[in-house]
Amino acid sequence: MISIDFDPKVLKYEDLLEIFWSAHRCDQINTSRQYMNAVFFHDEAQKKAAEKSKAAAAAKQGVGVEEVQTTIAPVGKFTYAEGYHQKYYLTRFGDIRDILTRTYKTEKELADSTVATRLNAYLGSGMKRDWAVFIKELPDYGMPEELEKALSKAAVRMLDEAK
Amino acid sequence: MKIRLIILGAVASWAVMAGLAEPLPKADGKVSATILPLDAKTAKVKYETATFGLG
Repeated sequence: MISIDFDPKVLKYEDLLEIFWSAHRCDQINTSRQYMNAVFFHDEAQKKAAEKSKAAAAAKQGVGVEEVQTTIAPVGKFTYAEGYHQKYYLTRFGDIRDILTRTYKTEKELADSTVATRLNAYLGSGMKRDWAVFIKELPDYGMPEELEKALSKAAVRMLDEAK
Repeated sequence: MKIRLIILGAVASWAVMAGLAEPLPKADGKVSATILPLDAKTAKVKYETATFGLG
């Protein structure tokens, strides 16, 4: 289960739904609850948007709405996963992860951090990201100097890997 | 007297359990991390929350 806090002025819920549907086959049967494909709505507006997007996704994937196995259900209690599941891509960058772990007081703060989330996205997607933008963004993060240095090193490593 | 002791015991047990239980984080659209400047800035944004399951 993934929980995304988003700024509705920047990103619409419908955009997230589109990404969600495009990331899986909607006629795939959910074999276990842990790995089920589902939209967990928080309110009536999200429920309506999810139902609407379900029909669109079915048509796009060439299946009938009645064949869709993806669940649409009200959100229940959300429990954070263990620390080693959080910011998974950063685990490939031990030095950066160590500094972040020292920077944040708790695992929840690290999981909740915008900076850590952005770093995870950048470092996890490799060359699909625009590293020039990343370098430009770095000073705004306000990171400790050692972290900024480690990140520059990682950025160079990513560029080398792509060659 | 016995009933009072039982009630007192139950209340005390509940208080200890409540104190020991770690509060569960809620998906409430609030970002709690505020240590770094970007975190502090984004913590002021009124977010919405979207929740998905992906196998």
